[in-house]
Amino acid sequence: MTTTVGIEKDLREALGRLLAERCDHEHVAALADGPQEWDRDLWAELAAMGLPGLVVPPEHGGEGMGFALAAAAQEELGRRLAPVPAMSTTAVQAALLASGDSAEAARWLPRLTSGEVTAAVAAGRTVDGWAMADDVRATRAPGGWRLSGRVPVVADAAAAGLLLVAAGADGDPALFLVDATVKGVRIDRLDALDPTRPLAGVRMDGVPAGRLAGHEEFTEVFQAAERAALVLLAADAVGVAAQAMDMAVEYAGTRRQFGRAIGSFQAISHRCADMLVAVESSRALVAAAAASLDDPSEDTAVAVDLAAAHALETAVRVTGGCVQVHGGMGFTWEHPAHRYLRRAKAAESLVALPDRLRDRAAAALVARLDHDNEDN
Amino acid sequence: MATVPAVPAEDAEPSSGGAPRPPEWRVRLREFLAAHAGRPPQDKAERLAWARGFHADLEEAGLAAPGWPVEAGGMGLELADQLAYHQEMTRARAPKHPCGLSFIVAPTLIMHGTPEQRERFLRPLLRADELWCQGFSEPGAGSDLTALSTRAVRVQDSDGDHYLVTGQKVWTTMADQADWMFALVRTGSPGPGGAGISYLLIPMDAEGVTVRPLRDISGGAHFAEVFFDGVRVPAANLVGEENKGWAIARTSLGHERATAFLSDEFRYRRIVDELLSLAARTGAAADPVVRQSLARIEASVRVLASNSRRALDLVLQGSDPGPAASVNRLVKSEFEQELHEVALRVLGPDAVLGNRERTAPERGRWTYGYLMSRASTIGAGTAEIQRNTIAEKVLGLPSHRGETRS
Ligand SMILES: Cc1cc2nc3c(=O)[nH]c(=O)nc-3n(C[C@H](O)[C@H](O)[C@H](O)COP(=O)(O)OP(=O)(O)OC[C@H]3O[C@@H](n4cnc5c(N)ncnc54)[C@H](O)[C@@H]3O)c2cc1C
Repeated sequence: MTTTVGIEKDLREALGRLLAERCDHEHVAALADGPQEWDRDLWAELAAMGLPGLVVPPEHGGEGMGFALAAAAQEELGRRLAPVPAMSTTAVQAALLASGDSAEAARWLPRLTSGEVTAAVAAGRTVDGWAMADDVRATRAPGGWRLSGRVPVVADAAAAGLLLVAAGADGDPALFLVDATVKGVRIDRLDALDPTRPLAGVRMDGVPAGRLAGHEEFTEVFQAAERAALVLLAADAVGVAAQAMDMAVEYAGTRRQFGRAIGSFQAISHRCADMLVAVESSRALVAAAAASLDDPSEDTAVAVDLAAAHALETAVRVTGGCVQVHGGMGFTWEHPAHRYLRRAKAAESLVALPDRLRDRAAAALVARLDHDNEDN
Repeated sequence: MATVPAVPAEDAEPSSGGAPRPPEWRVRLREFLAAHAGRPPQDKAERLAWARGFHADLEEAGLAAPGWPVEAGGMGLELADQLAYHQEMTRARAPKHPCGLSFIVAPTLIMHGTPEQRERFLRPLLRADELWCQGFSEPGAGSDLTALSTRAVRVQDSDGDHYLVTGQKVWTTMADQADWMFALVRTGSPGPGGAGISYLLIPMDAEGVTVRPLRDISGGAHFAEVFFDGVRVPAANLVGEENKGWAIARTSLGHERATAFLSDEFRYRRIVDELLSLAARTGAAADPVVRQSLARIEASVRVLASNSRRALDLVLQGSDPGPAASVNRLVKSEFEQELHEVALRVLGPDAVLGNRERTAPERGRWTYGYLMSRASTIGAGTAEIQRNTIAEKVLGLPSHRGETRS
């Protein structure tokens, strides 16, 4: 145990140092407001630290450290609003690992792990989570499959060399891998509420695709991807909230009105105290959910959904509170507060909405109860 | 308390027989609105020119400022008629006056201005020939406005009697477009009850005024920093007595806020209706959680409507608007935020799109509103300060700041 704790501490410190230097506010603002979509150079440096391979076992070139560590790392990325596709890439890695398709795994995992290629999930998006992309058609062709159609909104697509596409094949749901660099794939940038997590529309015109999961494995593999995404999104949200809280507390301690620091007014100090309670609660739930992905049980789905719902909502509340504590200053473009609010708010509806996740968790808990009663 | 009909009588569909004849002003207003119907231009500058033209014509026709006294250039309408007036305007989607802040300075001038000031300023203000900005906040004086330090020193020389103004204002909405600023400046030593503060009208084109636009949360520049470097302002531009500006600013703010709800009310009603349609269209309205939120929003908009009538009723009877006005201010601040929170929930997965995204539902208006509504709990007095006011002024709880009440 001590070693894991030690490794996590070292990783957080190393990442914190790198990001403080390479990903400060001015850097993020320049990237987010500029034509470039994401930070390629930062990704390369993160890759050098082994970050894109944290959840990938050593036989595929990864670190095999699991989600506990990946979540800790993602929290640090969230703190600095790092514009890198770690969440999406990890989700696709999780699908590759869950599929047991050794050929595809051998083809893609080493390149994803080394940081050479990043990935994105091109799926239909609903309030309840990822679904099949309605407008994509898969057809059989000599030597494999071909995909045609469009997916309107895909996170991290512009950066991606690999797309995981959820599409119907012969009337059944299936998952496909598409090399995003081939002819016939078109990626159109969209204006995003959170420019640090760029969005794009994806069009495919008869592009070759490898089938990762047919309808029998579809649910399990797709769920693995979605759970990985939810845990990392939640971990990111913890970092976003923690940094917004730190900014609010710092300002509350220094800004003076009525002859005293505004943090001495209980409207402000209680708000800050509530932020801490919410952030620490989220962090605890996310750590448990990540551990549960590493050591799955019948409780994993519930742990993931509850953690994501809590952390995503907390981040919106805390970043909104951070704006409020800063008064007029918090409403400016120059101040980073709005970038934190944007990242938090967009994350809330990127994969599944918090209230739907809670609904799903409650349903699972009650179903489990019924199940236990039947057993007795 | 006298009750005010929710809807003016002639609005209720008559079951049989003829409806009562609408009053003369209403007939003329309808004609005016019909003659001025049209879609707002897409271009921002053209849209401003269009709104200015509309309000100049409105003033020309004697159909501006329903609640102002006739002597001040208004219509002097009764409460129920004012409601009907705003309803007509909202229904016709008439362009809003391009400068809402004008209607904070105007009542001040009507109440405390000299005849010359009223004569000089009110008409161009109504016509939107001249735009106004509010110079109250400073870097060191936001919630605690009485800490303001922009100095105005009175000098009498060969050029006459005037003030030399030096200092800085911040978060000044529309400063880059305004012709005039109504400002609070320091003319005397600070003391309890806002002592030493004066209310001054500053021409924005005067020498020594520098406006530096600030970008806001949406990326647009809606407010600015304003610097004064020895700006000469004629002493005739002082409103009320020297060093007595604080009380003037407060009383007129209170009364103005009460009437401002009138026009907001119908606008909010329309936005809530648009949100309900969005929820129906997207199917989100089928979700019980969303329905709870929609019902809460509907309750808020009704609270606002009903409370603003109660407050107005009191104002018209010559009494203080009472708790209803304070309650409404806070409800309104938080309502704007909650409304947009619910709107993004209704958008679901599409809430990730930016407000400049062409393919976003309703061209990103809800996302834009979500960002902009962050200001509704900051701009017009923060939600925290409003709660302090309710606690101290309405409930009579002791002030934790140990301030004497003003
Ligand atoms: C969009 C926008 C437009 C604006 N337009 C104008 C304008 O045209 N003209 C103008 O003069 N001003 C304008 N303002 C400024 C606005 O009035 C101030 O931002 C507001 O009064 C708060 O002041 P501040 O920003 O200095 O925040 P601060 O007063 O520093 O407040 C920071 C935080 O501390 C809290 N706080 C402060 N004192 C207390 C207390 N006693 N008890 C509890 N909490 C407290 C506040 O609620 C807030 O959360 C505008 C602001 C915005 C956002």
